Amino acid sequence: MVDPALEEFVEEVEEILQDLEQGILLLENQPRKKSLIDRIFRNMHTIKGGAGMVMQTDLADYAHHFENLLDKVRSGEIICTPEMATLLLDSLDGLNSFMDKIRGTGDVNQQLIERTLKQIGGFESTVSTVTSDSVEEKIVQTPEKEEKSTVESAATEDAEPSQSQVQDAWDDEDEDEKGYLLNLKFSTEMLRNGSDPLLLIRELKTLGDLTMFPHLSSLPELKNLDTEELHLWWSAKLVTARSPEELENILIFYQGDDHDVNFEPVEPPPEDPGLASTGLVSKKQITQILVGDVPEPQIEAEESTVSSEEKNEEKPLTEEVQKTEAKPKTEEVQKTQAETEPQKKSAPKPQLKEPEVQTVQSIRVAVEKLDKLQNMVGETVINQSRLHQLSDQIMGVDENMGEMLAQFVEDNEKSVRELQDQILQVRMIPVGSIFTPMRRTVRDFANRNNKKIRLEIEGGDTELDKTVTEQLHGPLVHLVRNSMDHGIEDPETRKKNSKDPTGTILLKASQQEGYVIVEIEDDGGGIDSKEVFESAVNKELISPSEELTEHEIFQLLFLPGFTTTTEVSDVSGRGVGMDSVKKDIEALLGTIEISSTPGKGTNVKLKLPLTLAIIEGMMIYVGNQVFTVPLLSVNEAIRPLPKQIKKIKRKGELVEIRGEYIPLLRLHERLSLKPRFKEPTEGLVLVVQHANRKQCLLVDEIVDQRPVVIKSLEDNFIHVPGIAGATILGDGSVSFILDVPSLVN
Amino acid sequence: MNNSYMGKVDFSAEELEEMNLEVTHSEGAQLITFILGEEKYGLDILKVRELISYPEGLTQIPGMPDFIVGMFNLRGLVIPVMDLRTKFGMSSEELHEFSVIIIVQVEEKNIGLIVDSVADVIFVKEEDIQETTEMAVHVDIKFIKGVAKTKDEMVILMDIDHLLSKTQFESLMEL
Repeated sequence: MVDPALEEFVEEVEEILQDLEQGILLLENQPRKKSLIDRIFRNMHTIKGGAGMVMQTDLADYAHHFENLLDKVRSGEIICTPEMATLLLDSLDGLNSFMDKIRGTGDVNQQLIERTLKQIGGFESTVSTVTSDSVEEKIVQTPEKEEKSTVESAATEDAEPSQSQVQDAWDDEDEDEKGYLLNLKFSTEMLRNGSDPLLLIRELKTLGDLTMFPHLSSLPELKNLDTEELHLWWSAKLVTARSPEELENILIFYQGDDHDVNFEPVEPPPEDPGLASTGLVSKKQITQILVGDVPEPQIEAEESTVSSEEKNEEKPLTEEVQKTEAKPKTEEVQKTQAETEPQKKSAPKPQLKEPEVQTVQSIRVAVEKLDKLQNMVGETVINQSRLHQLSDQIMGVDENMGEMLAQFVEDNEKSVRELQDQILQVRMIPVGSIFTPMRRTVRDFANRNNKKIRLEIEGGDTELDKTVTEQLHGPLVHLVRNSMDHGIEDPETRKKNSKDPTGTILLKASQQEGYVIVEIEDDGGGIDSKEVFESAVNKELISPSEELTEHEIFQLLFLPGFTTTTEVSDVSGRGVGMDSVKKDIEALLGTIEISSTPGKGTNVKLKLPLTLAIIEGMMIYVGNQVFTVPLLSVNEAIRPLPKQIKKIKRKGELVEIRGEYIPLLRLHERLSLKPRFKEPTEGLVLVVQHANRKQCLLVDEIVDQRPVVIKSLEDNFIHVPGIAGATILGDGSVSFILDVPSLVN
Repeated sequence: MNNSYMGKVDFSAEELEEMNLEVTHSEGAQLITFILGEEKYGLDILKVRELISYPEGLTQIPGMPDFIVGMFNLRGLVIPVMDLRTKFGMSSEELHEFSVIIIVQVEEKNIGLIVDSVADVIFVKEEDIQETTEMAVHVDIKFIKGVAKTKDEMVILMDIDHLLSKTQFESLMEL
């Protein structure tokens, strides 16, 4: 692929396809959500257009068919059924196969393409059978302009408007929104005090979608009007995800002083949120406002607000309006239409826009370039430590010069650290980017295997280095599949055990002291530690006499070739998985732990470093060679007394530290080096920890402690057991980073 | 060995590239020749990244056989070094001023090879290359691709793709 335009197209489509997949999965559950349908339509349209531009006519043609289908969904002619969602998802696979061909990594799946195209026909033909419906639905799409005129006529003659129009006004809302209902009654003296309600309104507007309803009831006659007094007050609807505390913090400046400013949260209704959440102001109330002849029922909080209100000053006053919660929304649109009350006709169409996002300028950068940049920053970090060393040497020769250099090195250190932090920041991506694709995996699995599974995601915005995130994908798929396959029971079994027939898998990410914790939790059958133990005994992995804690038993699951399920499933394989998952996680310098309660579910917890590129390292001498130990694994360093060293048959040597017996490994023996000190009482003992296992390492001396850039040995060599990587020291020499997990086990 | 490269030890990739361009393009291969023991070996110049003198401070890799002498830092790359003498069971000689490390690139990995000295860059025509069946040389025959005969000498072609293949390296772990 040498054509840059084509390359760009492929990149763009890759992103769009991901977005499409998420969109379709959401649409399946909220088939009427207009914003979703629009997004999906737009995406498909972009693919079609882009494909045409780069002369991929087959692809453009294929996308065109789906665009047509989606157009009908958009216009309300067809409703998106679960079957259609399946078709749309299949079409994504079709589109992906086109992309494979363009990338040269595969071929177009003609069979799938033909099947899906045929299926479109099926959906389109159903259109004709619902023509009568579609006419009605079409009205729903009345453009805003017409609607406004209806609103006006409604206001004057209280006539019955077309219900579908009202329907649309409500139905078009974004459903799952959360918001607040505010009452803003300011002191009449406010303007005189140099304050301005507009300031608050503008501030509120930055929080989310704000719709203002002015109340004119207390306006005096024009002849009595003092232009420096404030007689207007407002009801406002603020659609935002912000916390009440945040709102409170803004409103706090308008407490007291005769102001009457308050708010209350409005949660979206639990069921079919299509209609109701918008009704932050009751229909009745709105009608009243309208009857009161407010020309612009909902005024966007803009500067023009006040001026337009000023114009209204002479208009008759509305009754004071009480805010009320909207009625809960009904399930079926048809039903709702039937129920629509006359007042509803005049419901204004609150112009809920997509939340206004502060436009952040961004550019797309190839990961390769970032990698290079990071490498260079890595070099700078190394040079910095060389400088450090140099300044020490110069200090020995010429104190003045040394002092000057040391000062410079120190200043530079700050910039280098900052540079390092920044480049790491740039490489961070939300872990949600690998969580969300799981929705499709879960959906497809559940459908195929007649299970009911809900995937919940928490903390998807937790950020992790791109490389870590990417390499986490494989293990994550594996673990989720395990949960679906072996964890979640079929609906009947779940019912029998008085559980919700729909199983839940929770993907959760959070940050914890330089680590990201990723948890995969299911409420399935769980794992019985006794079974695990017996199985391990049967496989002769452990002896039956061994006494293990529950935690240790679950760790057995990670032994190669261990599995408790006898049957082989196409999804989660033959149980060879868990040890490879563990290997993958450890390659990321992370840890994995399982806990489970039979009947209740299983929790797999991954602890991952934020980044792989740079770690804080402790340099130690073993013989004449300097090794680096990740500082995060080092608990302490001690020189034990002879009485602390215990020799135990077959278990080797232990060091007793504050009542705890920790096994001792003489690093020089393990690394076949000639040490300066052969005895722990002469050298130094590092206590390192991985997961909950501790290990004492005998070393000669601690040299230094500083951030190091990790270089993979495998780049130019092979994986060497006991070594996690290499780094370059201040003097330019190579130092190996010890692989603590493998030393501990 | 009366050639202009004698005595010079470090060559950058650009210099090598230049040498490469000097030769007319016809069927055949351009080789870097080097001395190992009593024999002259050649390897495809396209595999050679650069030539460097023996670096200071190699770091030994724990648990590796003798002929993997260690790793060193080449402008930020961590590169393993293999001593070909030790590898092929020749008496390991004191490293001297002409000892050279040839950095080669195989399977996208950069690896250093210690040789006695670098001799020349030569061009051999395809018809001058013979496949080997049997030969009395020090080097294990399975790492020999063939022999190139030039007007007055014989150059043994080393099969470094095989010598430095992933499988070969992985077999190190079993030692």
